Amino acid sequence: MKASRFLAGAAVAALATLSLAGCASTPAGDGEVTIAGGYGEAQAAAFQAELDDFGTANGIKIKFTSYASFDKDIKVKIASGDTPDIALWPQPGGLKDQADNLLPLSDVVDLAPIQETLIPGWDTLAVVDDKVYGLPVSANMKTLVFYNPEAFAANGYTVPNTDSELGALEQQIKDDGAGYPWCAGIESGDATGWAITDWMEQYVLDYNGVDVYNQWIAGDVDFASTEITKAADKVAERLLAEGQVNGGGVSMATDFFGNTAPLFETGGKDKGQCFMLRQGSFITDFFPEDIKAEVAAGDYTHADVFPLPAPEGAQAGVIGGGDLAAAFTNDADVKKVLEFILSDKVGSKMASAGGFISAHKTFDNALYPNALIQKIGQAMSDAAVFGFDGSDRMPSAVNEEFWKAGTDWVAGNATWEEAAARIDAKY
Amino acid sequence: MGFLANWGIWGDLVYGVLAVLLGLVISYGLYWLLDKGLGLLPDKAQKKLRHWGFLLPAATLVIVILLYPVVQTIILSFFNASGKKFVGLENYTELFTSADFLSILLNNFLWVAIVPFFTVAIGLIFATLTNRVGPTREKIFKSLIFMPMSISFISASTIWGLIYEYVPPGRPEIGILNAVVKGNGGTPQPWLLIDDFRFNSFLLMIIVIWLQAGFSMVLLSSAIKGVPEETLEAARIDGANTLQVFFRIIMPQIRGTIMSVFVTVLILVMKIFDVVLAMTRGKYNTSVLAMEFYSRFFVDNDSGAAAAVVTILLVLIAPLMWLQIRTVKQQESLR
Repeated sequence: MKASRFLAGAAVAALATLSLAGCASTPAGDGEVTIAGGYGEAQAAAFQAELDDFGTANGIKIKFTSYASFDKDIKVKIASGDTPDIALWPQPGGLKDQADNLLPLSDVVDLAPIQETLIPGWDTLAVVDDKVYGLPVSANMKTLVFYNPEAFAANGYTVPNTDSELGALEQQIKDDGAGYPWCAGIESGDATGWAITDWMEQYVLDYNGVDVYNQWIAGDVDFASTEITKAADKVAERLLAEGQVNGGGVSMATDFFGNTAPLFETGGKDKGQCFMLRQGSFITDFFPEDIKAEVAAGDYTHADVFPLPAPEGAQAGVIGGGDLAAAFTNDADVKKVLEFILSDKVGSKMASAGGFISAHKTFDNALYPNALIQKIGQAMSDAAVFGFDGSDRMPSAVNEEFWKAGTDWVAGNATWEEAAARIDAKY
Repeated sequence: MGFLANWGIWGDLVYGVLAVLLGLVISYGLYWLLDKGLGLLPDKAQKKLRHWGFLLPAATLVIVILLYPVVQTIILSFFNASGKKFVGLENYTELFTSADFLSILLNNFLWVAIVPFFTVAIGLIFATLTNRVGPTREKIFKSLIFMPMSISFISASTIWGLIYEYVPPGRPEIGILNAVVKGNGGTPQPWLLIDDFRFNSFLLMIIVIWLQAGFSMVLLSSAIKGVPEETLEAARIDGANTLQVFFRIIMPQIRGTIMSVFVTVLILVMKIFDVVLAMTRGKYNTSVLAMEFYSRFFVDNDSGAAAAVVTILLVLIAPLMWLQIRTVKQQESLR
């Protein structure tokens, strides 16, 4: 028994050597591909299921591992030489930092068919020295305001279409004493503060357009500049002013971003009810179980979504994020797997698990589990000005300081000038 | 030996046994070779060099595993973020001119000034009291007080996180401390955000004192029990009251134990990290040196500045190490 297995192993090795000799450019695969990423439990399971289906059909064993804190863990893995074949970065900044250790994607796969179906802008995110190192596998969208239609109807509120209507609605909510206009927790353990950077990015993009937005990310426009301070003032007016958020900035800093219960609260101001939540499409995963079940069943009486209106005289931009795949090794199996996960075919199972939006124009909209997410998916594929989550594209040291200083600003421990100076010092 | 991988658990076992055997053979062979080598020397030199020869493998390990990294870290602290370019004292001047870093040093100072003292004091009180309540109750109380010692710093932080938790007004209360405050008619506070007078750092210190008081109690309790009964009796006959007996007779005799507990906790607190990481991640002015190293290295990717932080920590800890070794030596000589 053992001897026969040994012989079989030798035969496979011999075959592998033969096929290796036949194909010089792409080395033959060893039948196994390892992928690392930072997906949550449900999404990781759905992704693994898709990979299993693809792997079985192509005779490749594909193993996906989710790191607890991807950005730090992958650095340790790289430093120790224990890298996976493919890694999915939630932050292009971190990916670009590691370009020396990665292969340009064009060395592994043919980029043209992938780029053809991608929404423009996605292929420019992880470019170092004119070479593409990362392309998206999954995406999410953040220019969304979730609200509770039943609570709106009960108070006679309507969905605002412009910034001034939004301001009037906020005032109305406060005047009625119905609750607080915004739910806006930014606590997130290790990454506390990212939610406030999303707000900042939205208004920087809206007010200044995509050019200044990109210069800001590159460090050519300071945080302390008038352009960025204008956005900060807008965020302060929207969230930090008296009565806008339950408990003010201090509560925002300590309240978990996924704590969506107050949005579905009916007890009014005394119970801390809030009416609007600007968040990424993935937030539906954090809704209370009964609301999630309703949404899954196609019932939107308690949860619906509208795009955040741009301020007067500003251009409406769409902000989003995503996970970008990059390759450490190159062989025939890695090539096949990469071609699959970078295509518009990936997502059939992840989409139904929720929290997934495709970065491809050609993704089949019917695969999204419900009308709410279809609406979000449609908005993504219609995107005119698409800005990838800016802070995630900044060098990770700057990004992390943006989170920290942003949190201190929100909590009232620092003024915007102080916070901006701290972040600028990291460039 | 790749085929072993196909044997499953048996392959692993074979690997394990082979590794152990190989290790034994190699270490035996090494000393045998050393012995043979020394045997070649003239008799006089042999006598002088023999013990040094046998120390060689251990000394090599200490140098490679302990000394080399220390020296390398110190050298790295004079290089830039990627460790490739010499920058002189730049990392240090950057650290000592930044208000953030000075605030971190202040935090470390507060930790060192407060935690060891209170750990010893509370441990001493518990030790004295539990020694007076009879054997059964002594066991129960000591177990209860010692219990936090068996919890890791991270778990302890999770527990205390629930105590300090703050929820926005009107939402269901989760935090124990705020529930108490509310029950007494007060307003709930975001405890860990309050950095006036470093209040939030004190809240973190309480966790470590809670964890270490048991350790301090056990050591001090056995030291107190070791105080000869005759000395106490003699003092009482001379008319000393309970407090006088404690401060004049017991204290001087257990000073050595007090010192070693104090210094052990002191060193632990110098490099405190887990509690800060789990509770605040250094936000709201609660960062300490070890936390700063972590964020410089893993977040900023700046090995130069990270090495500088560690070097500063090393310089600060070194005298304490010396103090600890001296205390231990003094105790040894007393026996």
